Amino acid sequence: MKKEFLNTAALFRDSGLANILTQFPYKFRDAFGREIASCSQDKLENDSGIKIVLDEEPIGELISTQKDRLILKDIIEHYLERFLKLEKDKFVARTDMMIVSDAINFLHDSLSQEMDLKQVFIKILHMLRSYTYTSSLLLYKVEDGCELEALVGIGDKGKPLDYCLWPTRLARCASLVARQKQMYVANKADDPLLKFINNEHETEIKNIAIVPLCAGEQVLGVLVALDNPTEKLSQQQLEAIDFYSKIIFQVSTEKIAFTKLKALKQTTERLEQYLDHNVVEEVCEKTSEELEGVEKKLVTLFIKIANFSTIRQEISAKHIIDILNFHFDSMASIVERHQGTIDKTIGDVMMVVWGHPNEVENAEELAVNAALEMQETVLNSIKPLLKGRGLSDFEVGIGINSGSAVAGNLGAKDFMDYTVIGDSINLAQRLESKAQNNEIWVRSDVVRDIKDLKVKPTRVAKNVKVKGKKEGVTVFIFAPS
Amino acid sequence: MKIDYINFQDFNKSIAFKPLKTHVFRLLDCRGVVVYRNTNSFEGEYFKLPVEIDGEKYFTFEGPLKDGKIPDEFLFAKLLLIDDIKFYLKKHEANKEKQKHWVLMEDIKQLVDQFNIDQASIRDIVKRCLFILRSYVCVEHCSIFLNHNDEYLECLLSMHSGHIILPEDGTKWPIDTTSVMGIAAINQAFYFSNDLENEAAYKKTDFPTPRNLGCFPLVVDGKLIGVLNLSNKLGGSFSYDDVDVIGKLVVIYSRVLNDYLVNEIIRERQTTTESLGKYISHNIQDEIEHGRFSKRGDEVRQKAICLFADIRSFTSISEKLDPKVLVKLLNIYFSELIPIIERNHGTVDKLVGDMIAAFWNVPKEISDPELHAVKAAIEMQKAMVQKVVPHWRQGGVSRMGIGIGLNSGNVIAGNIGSSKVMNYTVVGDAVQDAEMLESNARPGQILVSQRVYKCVAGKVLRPKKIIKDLVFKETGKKQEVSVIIPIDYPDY
Repeated sequence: MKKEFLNTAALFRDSGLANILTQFPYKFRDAFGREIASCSQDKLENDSGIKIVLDEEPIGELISTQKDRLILKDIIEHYLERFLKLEKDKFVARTDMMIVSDAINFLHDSLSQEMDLKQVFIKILHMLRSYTYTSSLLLYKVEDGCELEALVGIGDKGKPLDYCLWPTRLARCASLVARQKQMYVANKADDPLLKFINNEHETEIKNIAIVPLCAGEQVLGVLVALDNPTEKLSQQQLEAIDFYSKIIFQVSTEKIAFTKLKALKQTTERLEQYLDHNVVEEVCEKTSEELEGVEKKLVTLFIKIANFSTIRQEISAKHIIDILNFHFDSMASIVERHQGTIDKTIGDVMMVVWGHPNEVENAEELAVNAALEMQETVLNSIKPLLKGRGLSDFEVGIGINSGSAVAGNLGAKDFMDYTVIGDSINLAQRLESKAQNNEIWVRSDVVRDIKDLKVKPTRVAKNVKVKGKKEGVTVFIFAPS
Repeated sequence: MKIDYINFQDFNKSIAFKPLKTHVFRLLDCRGVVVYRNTNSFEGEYFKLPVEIDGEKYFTFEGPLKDGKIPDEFLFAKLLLIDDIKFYLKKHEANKEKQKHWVLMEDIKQLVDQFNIDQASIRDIVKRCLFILRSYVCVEHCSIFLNHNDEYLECLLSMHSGHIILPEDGTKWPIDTTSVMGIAAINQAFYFSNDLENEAAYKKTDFPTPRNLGCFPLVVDGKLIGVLNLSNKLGGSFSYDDVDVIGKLVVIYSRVLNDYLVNEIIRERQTTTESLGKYISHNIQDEIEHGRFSKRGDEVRQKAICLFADIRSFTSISEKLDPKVLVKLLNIYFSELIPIIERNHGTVDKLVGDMIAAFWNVPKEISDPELHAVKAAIEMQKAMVQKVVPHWRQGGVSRMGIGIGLNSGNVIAGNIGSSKVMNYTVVGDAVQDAEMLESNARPGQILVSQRVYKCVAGKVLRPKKIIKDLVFKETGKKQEVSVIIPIDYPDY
């Protein structure tokens, strides 16, 4: 307690002393000899007085009658001491409230998860600095368990502190604290850790608090408060540092989770683009046992670009991809309208399935109608459009077959295809390979199951031989009109 | 009320006794208990001097009368004691304030700790939240509701008179203006009332109307997480102090609950990603995860080594087998061969029936792609004889084997297909030629194009023979081809 700081007159007034002393003749002079309070002073005989002491320091002189002197000294000292203590308590309470409110208001009003984490940390450090009064506050990030990386720091006047100005030996102490997971405080210059740091540092650090940002086993970083200009870091300041370390921890975990979620979302979205949405639903919802082979009745459609090898010679490779993508896009939207599932594309061939993974009614009708629409789209929009771009011809061939097949996960544990496999599918592919000139080749059984066939087949081919099959099949052919 | 806070014995060393050194007296508190005395008994007449503040009696001085009146020192002591009491009360207020926020700090720290340490269940977190809340504002009933798609609030946990109650199913409140909770949720602003009977917004229910009610929305980043609902504060009405402290707690609750919910979504997403990941080659997933994802139309021209492998006369084999057995056998075959490709840094493109298509050097360029590819092909043929064929034989297929074709060249690599389903693949003559080579390979053979072979010559098995002019039936192209046969198939 420095006497220069005390406004003794105000103290006399606010503590209620002036009131209580009116009963007695007295005079009070402050440490500089100024008379600041008095009552019935004419009754005082002489000027000799008694020193009033607060915190072992004289703060003024009391002049009163011999009889009252000792009692009044006691009362004055007691009143002043009591008053200052109360003021200090109030201040501490108010500061505690502000420490909490600042952090809460920040979390509630100013923190957005889109914000850059370093900026967030700098803001938090600024708030903390208004309570710790330390010359600098530094934040390390823990990488891979024990490696420390300097993250952000603020120094004099709250300006960002460049990493090269951080005490070189501090990182080693901080990593020690990170391992111990316990706050380390040094308030005296002869502390071994402080000595160790000061050996390498130009300006001497008077006190330090090193706090791990941790909860349980998890350590995310280390917060360091350096150099409070008064002798030591008070209990309250340490509490503030500890509290803010938890706030920083919370903000960090939130940000980590947020970033992770964002990345995951993107990954899932991108992965989903490689699979038909029907397949995505199925494989995400079912267990691997449920995805094992099941026998199903399916309709399969294959569509190829019949003159693809000619096209490849005609135009550049880059344009071929554009044509393929354009063609597949058009076909995919037709498939979707007719409730089919795109199983895969193989070069210029697209394989479409009805009845897997989700069951559909009238699969045969849907497939044939889709094929007819594909044929029409190719002839009336894709072909003329590509002709305008200099492609002389664009032809497709479509094959359709129905029958039982096994549907399920095919492949190895880490690379699978949720697909269908079976003779009926192979036959559809063989029919597709025979179809030229935008024809649709449909095995007779498929057409037989359709109640209301809108377009009649152009011709029927009997006893068609396909590779790998001994017996011929009957095929209905839909040639473009 | 104030008098309840006082521990009267704290005054037994009061400064007020200083001026009374020369007097005999005792001090009694308002209940008549002696706080201080310097004698056991008085002689003669004695006085009673009450010490009152605002008409409330705290103490009484008792002592013998002097000259028939109370000595002046007692009047002075009374003034000192009054000041002492006033300070005592102020100090008590300051301490309460100090403690409140200090405890709040500790509670917040603990909540953050607890959530992060033991990955507690959401009910555990909410339970903790409600207990903490009750230590600040004692209410008969409090509960936390969670927001479901901004449609309704569903009760997660309630506490009634200090007991945790699991909600009955269907404890839902719509998020609209039909209830005070809905209004608080929509406005994302707290609501409290100490006079519900006269509250227009409050809709009476079958339950008795509570005396008072508070609804505090839990909000993070403008997103509604849920609502904290409390009613019937014990012994009074909600004060602004209560609202202040609840307001602070609610901010922390929102963050902790949000954390939990975000982590739950992360867990769900991870399962989804894992499920989907099984259907996409590792190398392509790596590219996606590292942000090197190319859109459709971002194709690159690049050298690729293409490999095709196929079971010979598969159609006639499959005709004889039960489809389910066939799938089982195929999966044994794929499970042996696909890891070999991935181990040798290859990318599996797709499986088409029994055929495996794979490539090297895309999407990521690697050193010695030809060598990795040829090594993989050799390993594949060995694995066939040593591991796959015995299984198939047990399954009733005595003769089976694969042919492999390998070719390299400039291809277009990229995402090809429709915007709904695409496929990271390679397109080009080199790809088709590789497929042709495969179709010309007899069981056990690896047909390697000259372009590939000259990069690996001397580093791998010598070819059994070299075909100078292999003619592709489909295109009429001629190629020089090295035929590598790593191991003999026993039955061919």
